[in-house]
Amino acid sequence: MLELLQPGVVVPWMLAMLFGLFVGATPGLTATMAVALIVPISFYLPNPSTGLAMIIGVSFTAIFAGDIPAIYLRIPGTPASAATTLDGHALALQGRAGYALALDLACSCIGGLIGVLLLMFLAPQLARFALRFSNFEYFWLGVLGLSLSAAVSSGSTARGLLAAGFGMLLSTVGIDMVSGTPRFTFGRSDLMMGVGFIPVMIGLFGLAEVLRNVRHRAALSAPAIRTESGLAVRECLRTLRRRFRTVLRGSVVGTFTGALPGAGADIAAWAAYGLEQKIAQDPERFGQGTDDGVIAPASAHNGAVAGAWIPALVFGIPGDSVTAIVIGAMLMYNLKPGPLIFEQSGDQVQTIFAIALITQFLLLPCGYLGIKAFGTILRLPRNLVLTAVVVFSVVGAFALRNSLFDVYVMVAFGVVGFYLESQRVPVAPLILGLILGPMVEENLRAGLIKTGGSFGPFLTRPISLVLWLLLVGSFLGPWIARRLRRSSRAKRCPPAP
Amino acid sequence: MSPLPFRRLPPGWSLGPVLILLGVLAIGFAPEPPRLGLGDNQDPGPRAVPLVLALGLITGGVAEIVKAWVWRRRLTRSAGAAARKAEEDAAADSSDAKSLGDAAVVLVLVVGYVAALPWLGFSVSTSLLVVALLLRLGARWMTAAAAAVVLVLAVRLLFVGLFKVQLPVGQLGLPF
Repeated sequence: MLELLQPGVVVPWMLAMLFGLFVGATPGLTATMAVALIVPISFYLPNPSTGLAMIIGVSFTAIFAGDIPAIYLRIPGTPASAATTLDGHALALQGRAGYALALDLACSCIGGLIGVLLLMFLAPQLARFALRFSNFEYFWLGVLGLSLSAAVSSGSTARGLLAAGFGMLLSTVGIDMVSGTPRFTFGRSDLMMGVGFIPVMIGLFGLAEVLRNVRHRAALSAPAIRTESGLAVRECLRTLRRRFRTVLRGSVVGTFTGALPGAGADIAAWAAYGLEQKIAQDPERFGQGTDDGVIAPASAHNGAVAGAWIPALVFGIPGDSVTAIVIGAMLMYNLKPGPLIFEQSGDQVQTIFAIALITQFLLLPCGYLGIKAFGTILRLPRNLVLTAVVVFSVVGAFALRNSLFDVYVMVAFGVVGFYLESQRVPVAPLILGLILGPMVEENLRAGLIKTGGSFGPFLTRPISLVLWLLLVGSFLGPWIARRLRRSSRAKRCPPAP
Repeated sequence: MSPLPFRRLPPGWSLGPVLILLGVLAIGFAPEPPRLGLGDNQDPGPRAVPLVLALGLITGGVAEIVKAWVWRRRLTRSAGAAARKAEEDAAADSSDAKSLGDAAVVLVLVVGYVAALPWLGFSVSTSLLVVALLLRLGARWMTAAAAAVVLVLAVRLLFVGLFKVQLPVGQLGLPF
């Protein structure tokens, strides 16, 4: 542990975290991209612990950093921040951006801390459980994620489901992975690999927001966000003391979701948000700027980063794209992930755990610097900020593949997002449909091929059964609860004769 | 009782037809080789899932149309409330049309900017976009020009300098 606190390790570690902060907070650039960019740099360092510290530091910081533009601008810096846009931005619009960000930063640190502790103590058992999942369970997991996103979005659940269906339909564009058949490509090579997730996300959350904002001319010369001078640390601490159970729930849900291969920080954030909304006494406050709407996703997404390490370390199965890169880097450091890693490279595993723990504490000063830097930019008039968002949206969409086609996709989805919101259709389920669509389709088809066309195992295998019962419960539960509340109210106050 | 004007439809009235159109297009354009279409339960083809989703969208579209129709009927029956609401809606509609025009102008500027990128290059087209957009959004000439310079420099420093992204250079042969 002491070796990790030497200046030769801490300085590059913090610089890497600042880099992660910057990439994560730039819409269009992902946490995966941040980790991918830092890996080659880390190999130039003489001490392998320093390299590992840089990689782990970047992965946690970039996921938190995505929340900064999500709260300030309603543009998630990374997909994991989409859930935070709902209440985080609502708080920012009330002039409480500093408070929302302080809360977000603290919850990200606590979520990461709890996630790392769970990783240390529960890793082998959790990873073994995740390995029991086969196509049938992954299919239901995907469907559950989609329906949850529709249920938790503001507005009608039915319209949320339609948006999720549209997102899933979009995910079928490109070469079909099972048969190799092109679908909806119209002979264009740009569409063979499917509709790019990043341009769609930037369009729906970035350009659409600009188009909505230019409709309110009177407010265009005012600052983009009313920011307080400080981060409202005392208020944030009071909230944390009051809502500590929410932080714990979010962190645990995030870690467990992150441990399921394929279910990354984005699904974890939505799952935690959905859970809080379901159990809240006043669910209608979600989306209006409630504390729980920031606490749950923030603690969940950083918990999920730690959770994704569980199958990665114990079985060498990446929990998400970030850990996929990390596994590659570990192999280059002569660390072979798998059940034997704890025996053969026990010291290095302990170092990884220590790095992950210290990263959570380093995240506090790094995150503070990031929030301050971003907040200064946003004191500019709104028309300047909106113009910058347009330029960064275009460049962000272009940068990923150096493709102008992606920029046109971004612009098209800016219009789609603008239209959908004008029709009161939530756009978040569309994004999740695009992410989870391939998982749902591939597992459905592979499962049916396995069973010779029978749907039986989809419904009867123990974990599948639990998952689809959860799905039914997530729709029927609130309806039954509403009916029960109404009938008990009617009994208490009978109608006047 | 006079019929209600067409514009007085519920929020989301156009969603139904749009969803139906989307579903029909999805069915029509699904996978290119029809022989690998639907498959069967044992091996569902590449067309199966898009077809199910398209049918779902069409069903949702029909439901939205029915919902809009029911809303209209209810409003027609409660004539007093309807008249009041009609006036409010008409006022909201006219301000909506104006602000939609603003969004459309911005959209045209953005599309023009993207189309100009391969010809004028990043720096020139971005400067033009920033100046045009800011003037449209009520900024002064000097502010717009300064913002164009700062934004272009910031993007170049970040994306070209740090991330080594190749931004479009254009056909003009300019060095930036």
